[in-house]
Amino acid sequence: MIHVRGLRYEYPDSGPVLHGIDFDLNPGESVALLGPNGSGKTTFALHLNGILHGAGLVTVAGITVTPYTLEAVRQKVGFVFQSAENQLFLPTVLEDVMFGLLNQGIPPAEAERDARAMLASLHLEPFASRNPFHLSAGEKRRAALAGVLVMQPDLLILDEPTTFLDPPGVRELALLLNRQSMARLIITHDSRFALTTTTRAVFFEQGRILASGPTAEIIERFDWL
Amino acid sequence: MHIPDGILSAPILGGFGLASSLGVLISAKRAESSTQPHRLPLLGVLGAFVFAAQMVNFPVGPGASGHLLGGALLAATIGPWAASITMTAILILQALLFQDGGVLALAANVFNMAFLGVWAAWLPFRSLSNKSLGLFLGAFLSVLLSALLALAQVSLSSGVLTRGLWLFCLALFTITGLIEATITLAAWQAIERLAGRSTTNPKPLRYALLSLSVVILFTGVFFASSAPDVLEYFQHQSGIAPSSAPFPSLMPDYEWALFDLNWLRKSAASLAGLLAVFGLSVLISRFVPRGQQ
Amino acid sequence: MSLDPRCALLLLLAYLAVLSSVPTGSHLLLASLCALPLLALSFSPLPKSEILAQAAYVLPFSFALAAIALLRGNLPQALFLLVRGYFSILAALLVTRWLTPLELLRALERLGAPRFLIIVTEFLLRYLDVLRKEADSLRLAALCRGGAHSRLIASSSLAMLFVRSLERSTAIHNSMLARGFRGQLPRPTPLLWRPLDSLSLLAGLSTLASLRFAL
Repeated sequence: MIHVRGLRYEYPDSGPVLHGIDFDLNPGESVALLGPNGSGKTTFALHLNGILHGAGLVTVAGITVTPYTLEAVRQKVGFVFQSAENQLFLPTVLEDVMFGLLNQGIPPAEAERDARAMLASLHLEPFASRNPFHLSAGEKRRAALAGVLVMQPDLLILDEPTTFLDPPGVRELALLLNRQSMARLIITHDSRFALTTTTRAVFFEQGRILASGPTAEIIERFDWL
Repeated sequence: MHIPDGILSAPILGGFGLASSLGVLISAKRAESSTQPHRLPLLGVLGAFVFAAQMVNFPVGPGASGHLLGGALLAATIGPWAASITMTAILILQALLFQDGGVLALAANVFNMAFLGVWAAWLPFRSLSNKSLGLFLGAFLSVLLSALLALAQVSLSSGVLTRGLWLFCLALFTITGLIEATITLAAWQAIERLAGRSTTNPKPLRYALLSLSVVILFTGVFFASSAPDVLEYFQHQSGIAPSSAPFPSLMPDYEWALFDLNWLRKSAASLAGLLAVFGLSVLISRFVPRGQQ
Repeated sequence: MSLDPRCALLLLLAYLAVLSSVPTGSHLLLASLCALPLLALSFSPLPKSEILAQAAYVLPFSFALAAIALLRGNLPQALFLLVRGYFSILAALLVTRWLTPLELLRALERLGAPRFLIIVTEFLLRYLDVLRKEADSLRLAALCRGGAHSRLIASSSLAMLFVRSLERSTAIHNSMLARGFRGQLPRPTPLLWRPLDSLSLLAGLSTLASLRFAL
């Protein structure tokens, strides 16, 4: 599903962040990206849908990510950003969930039907015409997820999905993610959450992958609980 | 100064409504073509920033504090076209959500604050090589000129303002303008520091000279208006005798009010007056910094 | 019964325009125009006393003008200014409280306001409370450090707020890109204009016109 070789990247103003990343992900697999703040996890993930472009090979769902394939790649990759507040940028929840579908060229009536069905399946129906600001942290997270899941991506990337969630919210999110069949890449500091939602983990440090293996093993090895 | 509904007369609303609509159309086009896609959310978020910034109390003197109005800061950071659109968006929501300024009066308020206010700030900022000075002067003019125009509109509509009141308001707006200039400059310099761009520290001498120039401007206008009233003066110049009725109706015949020559001349005279003040201050701003460098 | 937001907005604008063209001294016309929003309010489900009180918000401004008119010995004009100001804002409140801000913006767009302006206003509306909350937390932090009256803290709060707004808009743009944004925001679902709207608009406009020219 993902095939990355020798990925390097440096921010224009702050020097190199990724020093040659090699990474593979199989269809349907769920993998956690662990590691300290600033180790390059999010920077790496932003290469998978072409928001950042570094040197090296990045292939997602059989498509090599280049400035010319962005449209196709972004259809396959769903990205749930850390800040749900920034992700839900339209004035109502329903419009936000429809946003991706309309960008795919789906007619508005059909997009609205799909979006409403997705909201219903995540128990968000009552919030359809609300301003996202007035939702709770858990509801915002689910609404952000709805806007991405409704596009039926082959790969789902989540950046710190448990931020601001209370324990029941985290449990609910874990259950929801485990029901999905697409490949999942989860960036998280919450090791317990990683244990319940992923089978494999890779550990980042200073722009390199130090180790890859079963989640429990990696967490124990780096004392990351 | 947000004018509420029910104050302005139909000809003023019509005239400025036309000007504002044209301005919005042109600015939207220019802003859209000059705004890169990645800055599209920026304009709206900065609009929200202006609302939020009004919650930050800025101490301006013993026991007094003011807050940012924002037009000048927006013009300096995103350019005049985008700033006009953002200011228009702010004014629309202020009218619709907070009853701050009227709905129909948007016609005048948008012209005063989103166009005159933004461009009066942009021109000195753009044309002076000392950016701090340009911004200070721009923010001052932005508030002073838009408030004066608002006053002129109210005055022409209701006909109740006397020369004494004009002078009182002028003094008031000068103070408001200086407060806005101080806050805008402080915020802008703090932003530049935070973004890692160095700015020259304000030099006391320059600011003493600047304050002096403002005082000169103010006294100049004061003397100009203690001759006949500014408006009356321009009316005399354009050959119109001041109406003898204490409260002249500006629309003796409503259907033809828009074409009423007297009204047109009056507003042209007041606009010319404002332009003269603006030109004078730009002129002074050009001379003062050169003299001290 | 619900009107199309465009119809409501047009009626409001027409009402305000007619009200602002009333000459001083046309008491009958003024009285009948003032009766219209009261009539609408009495039939509406909105909280009546609250709106009547809220409309007084405009009074300080009108009051200042009225006071000047009074000082110059013109009581009728003073009253006229007060009444006109009050009923203008009452009518505006009826419409803005009855419709959501979003509906009003969509109506403005359909009535010809540039789409770019409306998009910017929608972003503003969406992030208004978010940034106000952020400003509030900055204010609280300044208060806790005893800096409520420090210029340095005030200006760095403003700068912090500004720079965070820049970062936020970059994050928003990234999330737009990730869901396939290509420079054009999709249009929202169109508003529905029904015969009832045409009828109401026609009735409203002809009432206003006949009042204006008959009285």
